[in-house]
Amino acid sequence: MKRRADAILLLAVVCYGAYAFATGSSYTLRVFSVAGIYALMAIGYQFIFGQAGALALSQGTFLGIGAYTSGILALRFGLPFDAALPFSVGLPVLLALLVAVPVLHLRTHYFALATLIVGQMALLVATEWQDLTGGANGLGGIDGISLAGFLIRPGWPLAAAVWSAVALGGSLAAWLTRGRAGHAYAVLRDHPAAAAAIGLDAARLRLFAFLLSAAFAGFAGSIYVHVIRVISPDVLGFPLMVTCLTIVMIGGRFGIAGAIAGAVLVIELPEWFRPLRQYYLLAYGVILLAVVIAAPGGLIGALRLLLPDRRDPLPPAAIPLSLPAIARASDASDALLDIAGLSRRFGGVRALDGVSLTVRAGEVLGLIGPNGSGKTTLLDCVTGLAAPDHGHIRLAGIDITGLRADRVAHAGIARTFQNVALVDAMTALDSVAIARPGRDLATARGEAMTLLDRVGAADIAMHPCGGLAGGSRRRVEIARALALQPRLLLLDEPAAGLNETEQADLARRLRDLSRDGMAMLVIEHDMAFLARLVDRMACLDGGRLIAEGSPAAVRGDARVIEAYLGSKGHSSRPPQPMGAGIAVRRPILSVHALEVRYGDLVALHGIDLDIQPGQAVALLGANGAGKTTLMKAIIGLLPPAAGDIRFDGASIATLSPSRRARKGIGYCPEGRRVFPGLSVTENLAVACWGSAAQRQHKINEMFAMFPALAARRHSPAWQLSGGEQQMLAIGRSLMNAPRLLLLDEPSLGLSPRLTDEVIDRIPGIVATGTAVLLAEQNATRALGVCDTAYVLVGGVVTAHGPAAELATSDDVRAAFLGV
Amino acid sequence: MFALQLLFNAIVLGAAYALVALGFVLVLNATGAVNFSQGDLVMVGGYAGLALFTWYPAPGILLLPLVLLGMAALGLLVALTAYFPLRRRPPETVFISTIAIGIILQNGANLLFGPEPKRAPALLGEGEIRVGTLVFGLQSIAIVAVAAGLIAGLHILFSHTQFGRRLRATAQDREVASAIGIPVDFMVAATFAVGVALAGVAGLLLARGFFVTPTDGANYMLKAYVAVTIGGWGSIPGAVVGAGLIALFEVVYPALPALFPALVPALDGLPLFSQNASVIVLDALILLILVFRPQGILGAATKARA
Repeated sequence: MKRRADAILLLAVVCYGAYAFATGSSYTLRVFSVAGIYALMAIGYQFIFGQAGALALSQGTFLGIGAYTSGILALRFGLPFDAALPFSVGLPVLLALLVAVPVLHLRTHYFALATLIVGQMALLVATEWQDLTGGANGLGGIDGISLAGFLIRPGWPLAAAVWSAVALGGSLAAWLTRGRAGHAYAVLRDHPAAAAAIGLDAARLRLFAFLLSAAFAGFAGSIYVHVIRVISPDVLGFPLMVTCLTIVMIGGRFGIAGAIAGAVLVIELPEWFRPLRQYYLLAYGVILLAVVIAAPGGLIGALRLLLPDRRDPLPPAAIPLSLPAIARASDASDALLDIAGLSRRFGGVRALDGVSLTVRAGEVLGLIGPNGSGKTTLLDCVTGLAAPDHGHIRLAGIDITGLRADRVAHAGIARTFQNVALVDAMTALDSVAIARPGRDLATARGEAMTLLDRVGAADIAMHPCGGLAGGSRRRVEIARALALQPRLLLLDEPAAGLNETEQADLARRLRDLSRDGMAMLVIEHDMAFLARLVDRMACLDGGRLIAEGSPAAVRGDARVIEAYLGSKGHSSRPPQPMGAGIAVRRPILSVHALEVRYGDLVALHGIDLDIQPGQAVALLGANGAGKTTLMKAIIGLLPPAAGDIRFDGASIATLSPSRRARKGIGYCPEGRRVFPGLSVTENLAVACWGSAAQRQHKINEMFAMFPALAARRHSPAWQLSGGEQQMLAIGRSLMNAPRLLLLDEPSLGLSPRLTDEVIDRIPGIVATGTAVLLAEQNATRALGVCDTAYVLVGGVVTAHGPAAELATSDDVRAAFLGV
Repeated sequence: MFALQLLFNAIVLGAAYALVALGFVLVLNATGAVNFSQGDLVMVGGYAGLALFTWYPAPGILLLPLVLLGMAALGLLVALTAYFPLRRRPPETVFISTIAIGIILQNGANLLFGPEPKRAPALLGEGEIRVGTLVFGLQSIAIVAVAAGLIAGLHILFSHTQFGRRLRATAQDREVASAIGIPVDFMVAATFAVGVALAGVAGLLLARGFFVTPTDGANYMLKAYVAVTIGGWGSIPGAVVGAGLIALFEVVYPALPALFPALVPALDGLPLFSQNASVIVLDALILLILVFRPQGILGAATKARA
């Protein structure tokens, strides 16, 4: 047995069962039978609540309907237990189908509410429809369980029959969720977008889980009514649902052993503590709360942590698999992917504005563009995660515009994600095998070995993905995409987080794939990586295609350089050297050897940075270089993994963001992030920590500085234009008279004129004595208003010095566009 | 005249429901999580009024500030036990932890007060004002006055005080709120205090006319949940409107045969307008709304959160 924890729990239940049978007490056996019925209900509940991860509150209702159906059929039509089963299981399933089709796709809280309401309706119908159900008094005199005309006696035969049903149901559930099906649900739960991208039909998987839950509950209900032999509306009440939820939380959301052990515990415990009977419901609540907080995986989760699975030591033998599936015979000049006039708006922002682009069969196309230029939106439109407003997407001549994501995957387009979307608990091998459609587990695993080998990750095949380093995770995800044998592979920043050697290796392996005829579209910021990989390059800016051609031509294109480095603007001034005295003053901000990590991905490596009081410092670098990460680390929204941050001489590295802000750091986040429902005045007011008079004074000061805001002082912030929101965000960050202002990408998404308007405020802010750290993609404009600058590449400072010197050096251009 | 009387009754009921729904939506916005114990907290409010009255028999209106304070303290306790330890987990975790809180409250009340329906003290007294055939109970008038006062107070708090504005800012963007100096954990705890205090007051108001039993919670919970859903998930005015619509339906629907006597023969004795039938019809309507207008009937929800 691989799952030792599960085996131990089942063994404990078997021991208790043996004890119950040994006592021969009819009461003990009856309680044990009831525990078995709850176990069946809970095993079913694990499908929807565990596997599908949806909070359904109707499991008790399904049990009640099964019970009523079986009971009424027995009393009114003389149907015995077994003959009634098709109805007593079928009716809850039918109801589940009716509920699920319209609401199962809704967000958690709506689905929970819908199931709750269905439960209330069932309860009221059972109470009202007295002719059929006996109303509030219910019905009595129901027979015991009979199978094939043979009535099972109460006592040990009945308990044995009930627990045989549990064993049967449990085996069925284990069989249904083993191997590939269980893996599919794990991907669906943790990464729904990735599940669709590997061709899994989320709606069908969820529906299947919900119907199975209902079937198990209906089965449990029909046993229940013949064991208890009376029925009343109590079986439809919410307390039954709460018991079911408690069982599954205590036992565990996954693993039938957890459901069974949980049911026995929850049903038997009150019996063991009979003297405290009046408190046991109270104890239920306390235990449920304690388990939710302290042991989210339940009994089985805790035991599995104590007794981890023995890992299969040996990976399976590789089974060959051709990539791409069809040997390429077609003319290389054919358009494999043809995007024509693609547009997509988000609110007032044109994320894509009439983009036309072609990927030819067998070619590798690099897609570049500054932050917010629409690259990922383009990928989402192609793969069906977003629907375009206008335009067409054709794959090998077939229109796939607006097709659902899983269908696009089946049509032959595979993708990876900017943030690797792998299930931590699954091995690399199974993560890839799950994307092999229509195979049995052994074949899929064998083929997955071939794919892992192809990307250079065969050695980590048996490791859980959660423990893998960033580079390995990227490889596994690429192998998973390849498992679809796609005609076109879309890669979203495959080189992010990889070191030099890993990048070179990945580029070489992708090149090999391309030589075999696999077409690729690669989004990437690392120009050196792209240079090794791509045949052609295209550049997006502001949702439009601004250049297309050979890599050298695109990187040399004047419009591309302007998109990345920014135009000179109208008021560019020669940088003013700061007074010599400033350099010897104590820095207002001093960052020392700062390291920041996202999991195992190191985003900032040992950053050193100093800002003098009243100094303006530019922080330059391409998208993904670590600018925003550094800003967030300074204000405290990201914890440092190592190093120190000192503000005005004292370490602030352990303070909360709000304490840092109150000490005199103003923060103007990337993307503005004004409080949408607060008015302009309120947005300013909340950030001021002085007296009411000081607050009013500061607000007036901001209105004088940004007259456009004064005119709209009562408007809610969401109504403002992008430029006005940016001014409001800057105003808000100045309300507490900060000694240091962190200004993150203030020009993002603004027109050149508005960019000038925003950037030109900076000298005025500095003149009041506030030091400014300005993170900007628009390097030319930033250098024009700053005294010194730091250049970030891949989380490392590659250059720093006076702005005037950097403006003429190659370092900045190299940081954005590669050498 | 009868229609006017029904309208008044609906306003009274809607005023109390609105307080419950407001408390629910405030916590929802601040945490992104459903507080499933909101209904049980209404029940606790009723018993709190009753217990205070037993200890010191003063009119309900004088006990109300004590209920408000006590329930606010209970709200802090709920936040500390059922929210803060779980805030980095998926939102449905808080759903379950607050179900647990509900079980504790319900069974605690059962142990302390027993399962029989109890009555909280009247706010002012038992009298009534008659205008023609219209009857305005003193308690009903007091309910509307207290609810209106609290809603107005909330409006002042949220729009005209720094504290209230910061509560709203925290609900809208917790990360940025902390980065401009707002102590967000404290603000979230305060939101729980306010939300639970509102539930408690509603409980005190309702436990006169409708009595209070330990199992009342589920019913009120569902009403708050539904009010917020049909008013638009996360919308504060929507919660008040949603609560009003539910109350209007609950008062008017069972009275339809009385309003339109022509209906009675057509019914042929079928209980289509009984209390239970009215709940079933309301449930069916809500399911239809969920299917066809999941964003609520008032239009787009302000800010959707999972």
